Amino acid sequence: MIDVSVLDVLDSFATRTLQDAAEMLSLRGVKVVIVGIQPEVAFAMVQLGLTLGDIATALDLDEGLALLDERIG
Amino acid sequence: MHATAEGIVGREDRIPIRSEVDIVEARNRGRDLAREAGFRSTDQTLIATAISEVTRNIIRYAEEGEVILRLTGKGSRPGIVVVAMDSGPGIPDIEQALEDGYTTGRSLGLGLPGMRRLMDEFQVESEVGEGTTVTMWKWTTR
Repeated sequence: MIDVSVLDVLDSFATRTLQDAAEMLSLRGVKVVIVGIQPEVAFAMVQLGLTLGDIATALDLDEGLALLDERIG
Repeated sequence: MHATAEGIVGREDRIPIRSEVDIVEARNRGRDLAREAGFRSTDQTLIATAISEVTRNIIRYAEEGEVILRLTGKGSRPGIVVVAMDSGPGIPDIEQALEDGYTTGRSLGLGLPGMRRLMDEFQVESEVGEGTTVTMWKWTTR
């Protein structure tokens, strides 16, 4: 689980870094969830044209844990 | 508290951009100045993100440059203007660089068009071998 809730800006470089980290972890069989993208950060990302592709996201740590529970079963 | 356009025009902040640390410094100062102009929090984030992108481009393509943040006004609406300058390689084809999906660096190809969407007005001047100046404006809404 990658918690980005303290970040007040996610630009294209930061997003790329997150994507790369998630991709590498996935290749190692790790289930990755990015949690805590702040509403204003999400808005700016959409305006900028950024997406996280098929990387799983959740609102916060609790929701992220619930999602991982579901996936790992 | 909303500043009047007349009262704040002329405030200026110059930040040399040489490393990653300066990117964070520039976007923090931009957010502060945007708050001072009376931008709501969402717009402060859009402005900070645009500053982050434009300074990242300076480091990536030109290695170093400078950002000037200035309070401005349009009629009764206070606003902010961001000027990002470098003496890097320049952009050979500005039209092409403004197209979505175009990139020469190892980025997501969202560079200039993405920044343009975050701000209200946008201008790029570039000369190959001389450098690039990106100027972006955003105005407060009522």
